[in-house]
Amino acid sequence: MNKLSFKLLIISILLFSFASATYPDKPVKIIVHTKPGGAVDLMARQFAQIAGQKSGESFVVVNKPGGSGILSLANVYNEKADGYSILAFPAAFLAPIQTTDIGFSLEDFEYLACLTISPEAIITNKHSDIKTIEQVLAHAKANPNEQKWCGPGSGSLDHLMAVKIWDKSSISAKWIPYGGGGPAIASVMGKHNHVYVGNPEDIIGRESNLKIAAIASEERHPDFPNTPTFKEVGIDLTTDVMWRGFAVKKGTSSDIVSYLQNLLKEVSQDSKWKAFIQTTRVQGVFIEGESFKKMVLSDAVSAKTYLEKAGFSVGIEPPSAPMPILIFIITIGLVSFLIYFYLKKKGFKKSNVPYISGVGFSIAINFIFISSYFPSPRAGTSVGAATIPQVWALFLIVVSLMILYQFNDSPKQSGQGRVQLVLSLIGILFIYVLIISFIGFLPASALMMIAGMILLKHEKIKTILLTTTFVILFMYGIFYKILQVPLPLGTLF
Amino acid sequence: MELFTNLLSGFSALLGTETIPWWHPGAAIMIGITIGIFVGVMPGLSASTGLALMVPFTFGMDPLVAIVFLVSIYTSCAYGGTITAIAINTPGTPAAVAVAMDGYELTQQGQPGRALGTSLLANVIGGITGSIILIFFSFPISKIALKFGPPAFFSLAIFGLTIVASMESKNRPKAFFSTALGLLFMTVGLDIINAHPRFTFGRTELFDGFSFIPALIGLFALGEILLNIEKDTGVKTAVKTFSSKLPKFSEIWLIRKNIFKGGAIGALVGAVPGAGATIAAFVAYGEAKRSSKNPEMFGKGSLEGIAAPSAAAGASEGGALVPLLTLGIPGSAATAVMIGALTLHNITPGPELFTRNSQLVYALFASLPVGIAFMLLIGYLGTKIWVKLIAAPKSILLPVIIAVAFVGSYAVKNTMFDVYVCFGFGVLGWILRRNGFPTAPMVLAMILGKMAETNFRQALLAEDTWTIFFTNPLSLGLLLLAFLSLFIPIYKERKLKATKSIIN
Repeated sequence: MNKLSFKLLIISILLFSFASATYPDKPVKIIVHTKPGGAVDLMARQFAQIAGQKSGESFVVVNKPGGSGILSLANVYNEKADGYSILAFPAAFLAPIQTTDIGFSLEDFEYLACLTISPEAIITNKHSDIKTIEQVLAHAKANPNEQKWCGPGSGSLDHLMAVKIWDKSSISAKWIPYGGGGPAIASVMGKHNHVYVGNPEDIIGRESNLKIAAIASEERHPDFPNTPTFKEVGIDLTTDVMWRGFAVKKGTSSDIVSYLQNLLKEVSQDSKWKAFIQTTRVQGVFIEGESFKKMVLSDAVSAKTYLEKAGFSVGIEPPSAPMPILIFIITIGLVSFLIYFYLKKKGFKKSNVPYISGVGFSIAINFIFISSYFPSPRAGTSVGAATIPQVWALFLIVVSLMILYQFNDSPKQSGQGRVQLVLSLIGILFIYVLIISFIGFLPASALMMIAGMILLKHEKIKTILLTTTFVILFMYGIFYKILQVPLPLGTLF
Repeated sequence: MELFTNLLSGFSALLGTETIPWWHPGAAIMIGITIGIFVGVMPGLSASTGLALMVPFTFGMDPLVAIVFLVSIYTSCAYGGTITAIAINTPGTPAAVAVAMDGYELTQQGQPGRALGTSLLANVIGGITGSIILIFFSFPISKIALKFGPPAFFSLAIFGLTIVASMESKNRPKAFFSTALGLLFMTVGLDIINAHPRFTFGRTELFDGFSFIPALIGLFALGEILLNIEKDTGVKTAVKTFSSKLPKFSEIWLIRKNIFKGGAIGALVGAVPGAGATIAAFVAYGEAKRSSKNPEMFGKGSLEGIAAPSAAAGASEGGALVPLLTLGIPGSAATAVMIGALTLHNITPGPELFTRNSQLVYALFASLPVGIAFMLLIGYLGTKIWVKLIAAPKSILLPVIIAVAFVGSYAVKNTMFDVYVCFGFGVLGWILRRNGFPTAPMVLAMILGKMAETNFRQALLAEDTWTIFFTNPLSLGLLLLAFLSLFIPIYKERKLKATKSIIN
């Protein structure tokens, strides 16, 4: 190929890439707030598959679990509003986005459409004496604040639903939060709790043990025609649904938004999608952008009301310990200083063990100090957020003092003179983790491996380069391609 | 005898029907087992992540093939985790930490083949024990499992923690120090009852606390590498001769009791939803040490110390299927993913499954022994490869392990923060271990800390009296066990010391 044709090729590639800048021209990410395998994740994966076929561009699910969904919200909020990061947006976001101080709100997102809904329901044990809604209410009235209701999380959608039901039916009960839906359902099956707050699909496969006592919808559920609605038993609750939709960052161009909305609509009518929705037993819908937004905002107002009723502070910073990190460093310094003099006075040789127990002691003291600012226990229970950390901290203090007390002169140290090498390697690793975000995971890993092998004095350059190349290709193939882990590509490129 | 005819029909379903040729389930099992071992081997890839990522591949499969495929992945993960634990002290799964204690020790003595072989056999026998218990006793066990309320779970967690006392007899205060530190680390994050952010210093990444897997990878993989470099006098020249010789039959015969006991413990503890393989492995380790004739060998490469937790880990997978199949309740993160995956195939786990889809259930049961046989084969062939791999020059091997460890940490939640966590815990692990502080107790504490606190507070929310932990029979029993497991080792040592001083 001569030079001219090469230049022409480059130019044509450039021109082509500008001309074809119609959305979407690269893979679209769908950010999901759960780990792989959650209900929202499975929905997003199914959506990605069908949307990919319909649009001709691939849709990739990226899991950003953590902070009750805050991390995934922040992830999309911090990306460009270019339509390449779509957020799977479940109703579960309403509480955390209002209780956490994060610098953005529900108004900062553009709501594309809602694809599934499922009414809230209360579920009881079929073999218990408290199984119908009437029995639940009568038992709660006779035993105020004794009945045990459970579900996933504290301040979660289901918790707020419980508070709402108590409020509307003027009963009082206890909320026992669990780490997830599974263990909470198990606790009702084992009769440790009376009522589980969830959705009708939660009892499927467990019909011989569980019963839906009542359902929060205007009309009876077609799959459970014998289950009364709350309205029928005189509780003023009509439509409380758990919805799942999609959103993008506000400011995304209207062309892209309408493209995505059309795509969502197409998917929602797809037969494969409908079959999938059938298996998950939620209701497949298509609620378009404006109505979806209205639903989000009005549910947010309701969530705020019941968050406050449940004792959460919305928009108010809880009191916290002043300058925790500074005080922490000062404590460690002070304690180490004291230990230094103690060892010197005793004439002990240099050993790290007393210092380590000193650091442990300082950590414990600081945990006790910071936790003293935690909110006091709720009414009806004697343990609060601070209790267990303080118990563990006391345990750590006792053990630290025991080690200090028993310490008499240092036995032989495990390392001999190679600490320098270890520290150099730690230095390399420190630089490595710092540059990953700039130059990308794989290039940084390659540099780290080469540097590490040279540091450990491997002499054959050929082996070093071959191994590094092989490992990088392996990681690229397995993690990036097959498992679709979104390894950072680096901001420099 | 209905069970046997059902099982037979399960086997015949595996052998193929008109719609499914026989090699479909067979290939699904073999590929599933291979993927499972791979997922277990990679630090950072857990059974739940591995399963979730494989779910889309099953969309086009027949439900029977899909279920057999997923169960095969699931059951072989535990074995995969023990391989790296033994070979390079990098447990691929949390449960394998208990295997690493003696397994890696034996590798350092140049006998990785013996350690890997013992763990493989124990895993296989444990797996069979677990399957037998699952097939024959799932309904009675599921009834007991449901009896576990918050007080009993709290006491189970405390019992698990007291195993530290028997694990580390040399330097108990240091082991307790690691335990306390691990417990304290686990209180970082949103507290489950009030959703109050604790010790997060305003960082949303810390709302869920330190991610467990990156911390584990840091403490073990990275900490081990740093320590290894420090201790080794000449990295290049120190390529020891590693023998891939498998253990002798007589050796395995001697520890048969440990294997069966480990298997039974694994199946039972695994069946309690939320308890899981890790507790099972540590309980089995503690019990093996307690009942051993050579307790002083533990921590120095004892085959018993490898066999018991391996068997427990292998059996707990079958155990965790008990609540899944009989109650429709996931006992672990991995089984939660399985439920999701099965519903996609229009199979809803739960008691109705046995009547509605009985052929599928028994095909699943039948696939367990077949899968275990494949695992034995692949594991046997793999052992030689593993031994070759760890005989590679350390100057090449160690940087590669570091790279894989970091990529694994990132893959858990797709966040850079976990990479920093892995790095931080790596340095911490090195500092602790070079000064004689064991890190296995910290891992145990990090697993049990949250369970202990959550259930303690749930119990007191439900009933605000402290006596609840003693009036609940299950809880009382477990607390007694905890008391015994804490003080018996100390008492025994005192007695031993006393007799020694008399002799002197």
